[in-house]
Amino acid sequence: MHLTDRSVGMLGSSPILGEGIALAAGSALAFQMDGVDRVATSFFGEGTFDEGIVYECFNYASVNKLPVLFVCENNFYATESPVEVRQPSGTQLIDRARAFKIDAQKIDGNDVIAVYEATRSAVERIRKGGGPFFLECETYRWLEHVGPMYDHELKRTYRSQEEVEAWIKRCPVTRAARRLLDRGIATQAQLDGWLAEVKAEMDRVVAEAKASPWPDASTLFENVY
Amino acid sequence: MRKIKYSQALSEATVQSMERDPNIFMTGIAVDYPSGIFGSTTEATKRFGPKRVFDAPAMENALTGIAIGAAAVGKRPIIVHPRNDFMFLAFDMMINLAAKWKYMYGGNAGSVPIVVRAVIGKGWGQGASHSQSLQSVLAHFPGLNVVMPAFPADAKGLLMSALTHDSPVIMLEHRTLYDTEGDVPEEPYFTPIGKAAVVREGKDVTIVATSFMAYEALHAAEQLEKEGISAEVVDVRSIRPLDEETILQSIRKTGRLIVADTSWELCGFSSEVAALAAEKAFNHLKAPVRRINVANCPAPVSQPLEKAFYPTATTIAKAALAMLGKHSSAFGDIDREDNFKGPY
Repeated sequence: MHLTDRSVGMLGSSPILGEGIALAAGSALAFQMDGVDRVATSFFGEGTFDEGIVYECFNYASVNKLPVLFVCENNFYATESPVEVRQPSGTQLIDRARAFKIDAQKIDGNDVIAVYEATRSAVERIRKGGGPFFLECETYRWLEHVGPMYDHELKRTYRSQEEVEAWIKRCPVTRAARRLLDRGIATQAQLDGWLAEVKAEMDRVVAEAKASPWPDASTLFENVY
Repeated sequence: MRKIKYSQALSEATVQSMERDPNIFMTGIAVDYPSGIFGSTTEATKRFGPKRVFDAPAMENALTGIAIGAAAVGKRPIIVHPRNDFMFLAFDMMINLAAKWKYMYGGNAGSVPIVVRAVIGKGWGQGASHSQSLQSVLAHFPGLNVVMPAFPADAKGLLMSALTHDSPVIMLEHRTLYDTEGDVPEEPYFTPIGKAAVVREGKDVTIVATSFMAYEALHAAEQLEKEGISAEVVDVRSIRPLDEETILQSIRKTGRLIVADTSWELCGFSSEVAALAAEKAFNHLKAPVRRINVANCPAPVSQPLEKAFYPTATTIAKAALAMLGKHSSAFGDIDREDNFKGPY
């Protein structure tokens, strides 16, 4: 909803679809004006393609050759609405980007190496003045739209348990770990160690959040202006 | 002091601000046309060129988001809407993102100091979707600043303030004002946002007015003086934040309140000021508050209908007379001609 972290270049996220695309295009415009080689990126789902602002931003970024990478995480559902009821059959999102003369590539979003390589080459192209680039990463949301449960646990029927389980088998982290083992880059003991480290950090952060005090009512008006 | 037009005052504020701050750029439909938004952008276009003043496709919402994105990384964008009605298409970005930027990110994402200038149309074939006046709608939302300069000096001073402000400022400019003249200092200066101005002192009735209606109110006050009525005119200048104290002081002094606004009554600015009077100056009121607004229908295109639609100096003066229990046959022909020949 309201995430931001300037220390890692993350400006802000918004619950309104498509706002981040314009933010990225605007930051890219500022980078271009300043003549710096920074690249702006926006991450969004395929549901955002149902909003008009996507096309306004694609058009503007292309006309002005803005240094921006548009990354769509296509997970086939907007909230609980399947792509079939929202896009004509046979739709390729990369074609929509290409209609605006934006170079585009579709990749397996659950393949860490593929995402890394496609992103690196896209960013290189953008930095050379190639204008915007669109990357479509096919992936999946395991859990419900908002909340910690699986849809089948709540008897929701918009997608099947089998479909979810097939995607869980394609987990990008598991696949990346297997690749490291197969190539002898990491050992099982190392992988287990990293997992424990990440889990410990998550536990620590959650505990810290739970232990934090609630805000005082006197802060209600802070940061309005 | 030197007299210049409202449009020149805006132009001077833009040029002086852009000279002071290299991060300011200006965009929007038609900003770099030779006509230059009633001439208010022409000098900046000439002076700073297409890198800092440039046209935009008709994509009001995306453009506003792009301005916010640029502002988030250090720029100060000015967006201009040749008619404020088009700005409805940008409400998502203005209201959901710009207005909430500091609040939703807890002050951890900096600020997005965008300035949005938008023109209120009137007359000459403008009609229903080129003549609206969006101050009440926009001022509803915490996080936005909404200003409506009526006089050239405030056009310059408020725009210069907007361009140094830390949060989004929307400036609504009435089409009728661009050719009006007034005293404007040459050097840069900053009219505070959130301060009303008593532009004429009086003791019998307070007329609180927005934008073009401040002109009409002054004109009405001159005529009322001939009838022995002393009207005080408060030009609110800033809709949000609203300078309640200046308005209340005047009501406490005169005991009578007329609010003249460029938009509709229902849920509108005039109702807000009436509510303010009822809540905080009720015991000082000697008569019911009178709101003067455009007629409760969309703006018509035909001239005779327009005449019936827009309130004028006469409307205000007659309301003041009635409030004081007086009548005058002289009223009805004090209104000035609108010689605007369009189209922009």
